[in-house]
Amino acid sequence: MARYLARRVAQGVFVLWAAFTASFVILYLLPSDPVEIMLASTGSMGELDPAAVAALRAEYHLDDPFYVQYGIALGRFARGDFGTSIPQRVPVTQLIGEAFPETLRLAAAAFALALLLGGGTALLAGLLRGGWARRLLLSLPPLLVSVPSFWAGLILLQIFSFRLGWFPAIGNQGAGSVVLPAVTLALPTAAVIAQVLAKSLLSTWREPFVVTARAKGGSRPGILFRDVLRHASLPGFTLVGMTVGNLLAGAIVVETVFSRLGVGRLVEEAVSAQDIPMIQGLVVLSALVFVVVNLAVDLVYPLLDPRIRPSRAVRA
Amino acid sequence: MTLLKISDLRISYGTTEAVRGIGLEVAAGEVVALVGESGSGKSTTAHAVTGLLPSAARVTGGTIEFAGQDVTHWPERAWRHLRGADLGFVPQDPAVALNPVRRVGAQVADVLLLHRRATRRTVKERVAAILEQAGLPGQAGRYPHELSGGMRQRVLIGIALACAPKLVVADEPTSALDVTVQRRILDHLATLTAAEGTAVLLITHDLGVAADRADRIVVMRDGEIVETGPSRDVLARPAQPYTVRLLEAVPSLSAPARTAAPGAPPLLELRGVRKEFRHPGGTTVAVRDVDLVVPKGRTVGLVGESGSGKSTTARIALRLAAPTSGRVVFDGTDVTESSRRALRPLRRRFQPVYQNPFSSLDPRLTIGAIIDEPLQAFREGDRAARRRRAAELLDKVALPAATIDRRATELSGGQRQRVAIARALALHPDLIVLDEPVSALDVSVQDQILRLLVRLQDELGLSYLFISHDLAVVRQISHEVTILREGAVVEAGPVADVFDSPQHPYTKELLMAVPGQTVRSGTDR
Repeated sequence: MARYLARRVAQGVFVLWAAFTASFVILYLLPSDPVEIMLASTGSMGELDPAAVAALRAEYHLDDPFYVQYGIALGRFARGDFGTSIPQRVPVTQLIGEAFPETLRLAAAAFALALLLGGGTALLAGLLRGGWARRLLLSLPPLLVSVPSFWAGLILLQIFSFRLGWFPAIGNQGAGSVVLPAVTLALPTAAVIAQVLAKSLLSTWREPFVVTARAKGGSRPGILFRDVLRHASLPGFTLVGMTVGNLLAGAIVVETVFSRLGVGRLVEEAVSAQDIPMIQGLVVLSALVFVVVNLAVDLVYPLLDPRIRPSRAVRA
Repeated sequence: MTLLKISDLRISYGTTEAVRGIGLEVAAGEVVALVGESGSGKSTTAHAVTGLLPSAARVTGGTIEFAGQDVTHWPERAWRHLRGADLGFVPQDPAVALNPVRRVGAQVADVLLLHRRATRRTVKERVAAILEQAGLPGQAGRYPHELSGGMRQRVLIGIALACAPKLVVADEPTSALDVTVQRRILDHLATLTAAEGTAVLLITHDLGVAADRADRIVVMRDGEIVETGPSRDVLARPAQPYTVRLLEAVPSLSAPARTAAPGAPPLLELRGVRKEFRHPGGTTVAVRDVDLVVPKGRTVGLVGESGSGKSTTARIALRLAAPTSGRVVFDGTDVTESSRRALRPLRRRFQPVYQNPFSSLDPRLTIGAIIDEPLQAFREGDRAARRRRAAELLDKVALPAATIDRRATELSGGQRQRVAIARALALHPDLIVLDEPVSALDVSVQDQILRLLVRLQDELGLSYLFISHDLAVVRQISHEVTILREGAVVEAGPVADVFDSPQHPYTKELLMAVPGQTVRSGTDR
């Protein structure tokens, strides 16, 4: 177990390094000059002071050859230093440190909601033996997946904050401000969970062990919760890793629509301002989140599926 | 007292009638065997009796009465009180009939709790007692994959009998198990049901099993009952030609063994072959220093139970796996360390036929394309010549010429196995390694395939390495036999010697386990 964990952590470190290097190479190859953008963003339009340009180029080692630049950046990366955000002149790690808990709160709320909505829909469909109600229920997820989340967010804003005034429209203040963004973010994820789980439930109902359960005299809900659900949730569980990706990507749109502070907003701002240190920091953060979540999924999976635990087989 | 009474029962899948007006009675405490081949409607009948018909099936006529109540069109809600409590069900394949993600104890507990035979507080004790009776003391915390097939079937029997039902329906309860395990399981079921006076409706394709276990035998064919009567009478004086055919198909231990003049030169030799598998927990020795010789034009039977190493031996014989130590010699050439490239020209001379004809044929390909594959791989002739060869091969294995354009999914199990044999013959091999080629088939189909193999051997001078867990089958086809246990040879020799005067206790146990000994004693009289 310890060896397995060590191997997985080493793999995770490799993924982080690869994400860092790939983003570094891509950003290096981009034709735009970061110094010009930097000076343009600080307001010195028109004439650029050659001395200032030279000083900045030196500060960011832009005149050094590629491998020197990469070496310096890698050294900083290893110490957890991503440099300073170009437009804001604040360390990248500090900005991310402020934004990340907000996004975490939003994503956690959205994930819980998605689990509840998606799981509930699939279970309800699993309880109904057939007929129009079940078909209606199962046609909801594809519909939800195809709704763009900025549009869903705007509709929710329109109804629940402008018309009814139940929740604040923007900002990060109070628990109420999480509700609408979380709902917006949860809908597509819930739809994916519902689809995967419903399909898995359906195929599990056809497993021979369900016949055994019926032969014991079990009722449909009883069999669903005792026998079918746990077996059917296994493929859904592996999906969690991907769901996190959905939530991160969705946060970009949702945080912008609701003007919330968060990592998604930082991504949007950093990309439009071509804030290279910030973008790199965010790429590595995303990679880190993926590594951690997938490691957690792989560690928890054997608890759900005894078949992949170390075997204690006995012989007849 | 009649416990189960089926009258003029008709069941249809769409427009196909699977059960066509059958009548059948089971008295309290009686053991009735319902015997038939695949497609005879016996499993459909079993499912109708337990209210477990798939939704595509409909009862179109007749009645099923259980303990005086007409249950024919009962809703699911009503069935729930009967199933598990008064009516037990033992399913066919224990490998898939238990929930893989729940402990077996919890799965036994379900049935007790559902029918209020125990409370949350007392259930643990009751489950422990049931598992102990099943010969699995202290195993409640196990998951199904940690148990062998026979142990899982004991758990399922424990579930079926937990509430002391009046009737147990056992749907081919041992057809997925080895012969020795089959015997123990059927003994176990018989002991428990006899003690409680439980009636048993035993569904089986094997008249030998029926003969050993049932008070009465009901023979079914094409949805109809062709013969019924006390087991003794049916076996001694079968009234219908179909029953006679089924009886003849039961592989016999008393039929004369195949004989062959000694001194045939060896074609395949395994010398001190050993195979070890390394894994994190240590090393497993699958095959322990096995010596095996297949002479030219002969059949050598390799017998063993699951886990005896017989399939690993087959893979080594085919050089699909390399032995850890020992030599593999094919027709004088040592192929133990031959590279893939060096082996390739030899490969055409030894071909495999596998156990499961449902998974060994690609369902997307036509039969012609399946047989064409090895021909194409070795660039045998042009397209037209290869098609002629495929047609010729189909004729050899007695399949109609039109089969060539059909797909495997349209064929029965026996037909598929004929296709697999045709494919193996395509390159004119000298040796065919048959790994349990008939154990997925009904007894009567089994018999046909074995006859086909004997005929092909005589015609083409083939050598067979025939692997099976079933001694009776091996006796029917082999000249020599090797008995394998836990990877080691326990006994080997000509069929007549090993079968008539077995030396090793394990061989004796295997011989005892062969079902249908009563068939023989019945017909001998």
